[in-house]
Amino acid sequence: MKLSELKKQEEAIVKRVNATGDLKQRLASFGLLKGANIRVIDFALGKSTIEIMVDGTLLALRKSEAENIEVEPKWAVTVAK
Amino acid sequence: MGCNSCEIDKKPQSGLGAIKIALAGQPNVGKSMLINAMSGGNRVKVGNFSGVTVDKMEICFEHHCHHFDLIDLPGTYSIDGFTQEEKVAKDFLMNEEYDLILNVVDSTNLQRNLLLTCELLELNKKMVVALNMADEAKKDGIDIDIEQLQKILGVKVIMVSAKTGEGVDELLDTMHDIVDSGKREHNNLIYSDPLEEEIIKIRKFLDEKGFSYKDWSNREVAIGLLFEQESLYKELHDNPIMIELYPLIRDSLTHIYTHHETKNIKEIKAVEHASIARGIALEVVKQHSISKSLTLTQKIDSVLLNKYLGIPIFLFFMWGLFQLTFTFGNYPMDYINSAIGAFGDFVGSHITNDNIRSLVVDGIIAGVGAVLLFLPNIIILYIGIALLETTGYMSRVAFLLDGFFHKFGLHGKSFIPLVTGFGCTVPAYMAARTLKSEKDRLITLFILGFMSCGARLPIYVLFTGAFFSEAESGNILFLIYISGALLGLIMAKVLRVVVFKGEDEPFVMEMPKYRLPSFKLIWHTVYSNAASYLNKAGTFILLASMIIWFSSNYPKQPELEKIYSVKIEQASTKVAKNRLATELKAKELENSYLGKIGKFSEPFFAPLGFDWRLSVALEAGLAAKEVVVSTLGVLYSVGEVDETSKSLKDILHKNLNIPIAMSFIVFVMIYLPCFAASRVFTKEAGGIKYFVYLFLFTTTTAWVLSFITYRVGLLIFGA
Ligand SMILES: Nc1nc2c(ncn2[C@@H]2O[C@H](COP(=O)(O)OP(=O)(O)OP(=O)(O)O)[C@@H](O)[C@H]2O)c(=O)[nH]1
Ligand SMILES: [Mg+2]
Repeated sequence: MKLSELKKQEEAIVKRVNATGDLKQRLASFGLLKGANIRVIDFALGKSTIEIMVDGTLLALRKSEAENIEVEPKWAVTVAK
Repeated sequence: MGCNSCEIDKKPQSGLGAIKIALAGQPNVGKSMLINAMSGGNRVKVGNFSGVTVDKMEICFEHHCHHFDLIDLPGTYSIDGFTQEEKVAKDFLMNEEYDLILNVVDSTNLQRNLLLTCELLELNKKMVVALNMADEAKKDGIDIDIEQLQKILGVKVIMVSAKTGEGVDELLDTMHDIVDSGKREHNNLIYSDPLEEEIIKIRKFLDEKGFSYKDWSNREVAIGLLFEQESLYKELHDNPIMIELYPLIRDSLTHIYTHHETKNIKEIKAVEHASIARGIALEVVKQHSISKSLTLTQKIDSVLLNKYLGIPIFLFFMWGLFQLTFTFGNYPMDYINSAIGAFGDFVGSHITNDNIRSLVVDGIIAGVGAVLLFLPNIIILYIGIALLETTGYMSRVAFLLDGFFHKFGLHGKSFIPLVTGFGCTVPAYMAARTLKSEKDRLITLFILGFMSCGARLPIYVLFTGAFFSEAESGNILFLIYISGALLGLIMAKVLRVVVFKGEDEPFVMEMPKYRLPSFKLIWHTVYSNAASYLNKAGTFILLASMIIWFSSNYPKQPELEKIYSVKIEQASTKVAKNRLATELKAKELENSYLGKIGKFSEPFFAPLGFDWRLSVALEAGLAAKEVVVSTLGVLYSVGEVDETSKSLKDILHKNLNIPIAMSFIVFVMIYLPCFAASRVFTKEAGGIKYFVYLFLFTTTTAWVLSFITYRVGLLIFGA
């Protein structure tokens, strides 16, 4: 599943970051790499930009970047809510 | 040993035992604030978003009779960062001489901060880690096991708070002791098993050969080699041991590549560091309660970043700010105005020499006074900008506007320099360094001038105040700023399509936690800006007013005066006398040096509705925008006959009309920023050629749009 497909407040674990070079490195330096815990906080109008929380950091991403991040949702968490 | 207090601006002499410390850390962790706390001043700028510091800055001070020389560096998420300001940090850390790295870390976000700490440790320099924001960590129920962290990292760790001053003394003493002691602790990090195996292999080989390099341990050399540290390879290049090492390294790398399933060493490094950081965080951080500040931030975000309300709320804030700027700013204005008028009358009545009186009253007091009048407006505007910068809202707006900006070919992050531009264009040009893509940066540089800087505010307030009712003026002001910004966006799109075609830059940005700005922080920003405004009024504007006065009064025309004095004598009524005197003044002005310059350029400006006075004011405004107002002040006060002090606003109202005023505002809004800004632009854009483009670009746009405004204005309001 793609990060961009998560819903508000859904939590997930990053499986893969499909990016190369600079972007991959940049995402990694924000802690956004395989194994990171994320949660979607908010979307801007038209889902063009997404705010997520990565291990305690708030990050803003564009949809086009979020589409390249594969995640596995933590269903248990959402169901329990 | 005597303590000589250290001079602030003098380059410190390292020879005299000052210890040189480089502050490195991720953005927005409080490096700059910590420097202020350590040096007991307010010398470096602090703000709550990533990328406040964009250039290195040296601060020198004394503590317990030791000289410290601190270098504030821009924050960087990773040493291999790629925006311009991150490169400044990298270049300094890699290439300059210094005694110690002070790695500032946000203790409420240890895990991510440790990614950089790992990279810094691999530089093998003396280092101390400052766990900043101790106060916030305490509030959020975060406990960090310092002893254990020290053990893992192998360097001294100290808990501090730049806000409360906790731990700052201890930090300074520790840093001094560590620089004094000759020895450096070696890098202690433990990597993943497959990597460790290879490190040990190479280290063993180096040990067997009896190899040693600088003060590095052989383990550190092995890590440097496997992580392909360029500088290390360069230095070892001619060392015979390399012949035997190469096959070993190649072999080891192959193993590492297979394990990590990639051949990209940077990626491997990132993964290694991430797992070290995660491990450390698990081991040393105890979170007793859920983080209050993060929860609060999310609550505020759910309102301010609301899908539908976010942008209207932002616009409302801006509107409110300009309303306040106008209405609140106008209360003291009347007092200041009458005070300046009374002062002028008072001084005038004590000077007997006509020429000197005119210079002082019509030149200096009229010019400088016209600028001083707007200090309250400027202060309110700066309070608004300071709030935006220190609360954390700035990055939110960048988030809200990114989608919109994107459509115009701009990057969401451009918002930060653009907002800075509402204050002053000079730092705004510098702030554009945080944009990674060169094209994004150039586009931003080109349109930054459309964001009206604080110095243009007086012109707007003056003209809107002269032609619109008080109730309308705030709205008009808001409209001026918004249309400037919109125009900037449209121009960005044009530039993107025509000149700077290219790939989209990804948008990834950290959103800081909301912080309640301390009064001190706001006060400092506002105070320093107001002080520099006053300072400029007292020096630069004063000088400019004198020049304008002189060139509008000379050469003297005795013949003209003679003719008119006869005519005035003969006139029978008082009205006729007055009319003739006014005529004389006007003729004299027209024939002065300035009048001639104005007349010369008048044809260029005439289609826009400007007479020669407005033309001269605009030209003088190329030096600094405050000069536009002071020039108008001098020109119209020299031209006045009756000596009762009238406000410039009323004089303008009498002499001009709405279409001219609108056209003038539009021209001011668009044309070239001041001289200082032009210089910085040239430097940041990378050449005089860009300045020529900027000049042509802004002047043409300004002329065309003013022309349209004037003509449309004439149609609507009549002459
Ligand atoms: N509560 C608290 N806030 C702090 C502390 N230190 C810094 N801050 C706040 O953190 C924010 C960032 O501070 P800066 O000093 O500008 O950070 P920086 O590391 O220089 O940031 P860049 O220049 O962008 O790299 C500001 O809003 C400060 O008020 C601290 O010890 N406690
Ligand atoms: Mg800083």
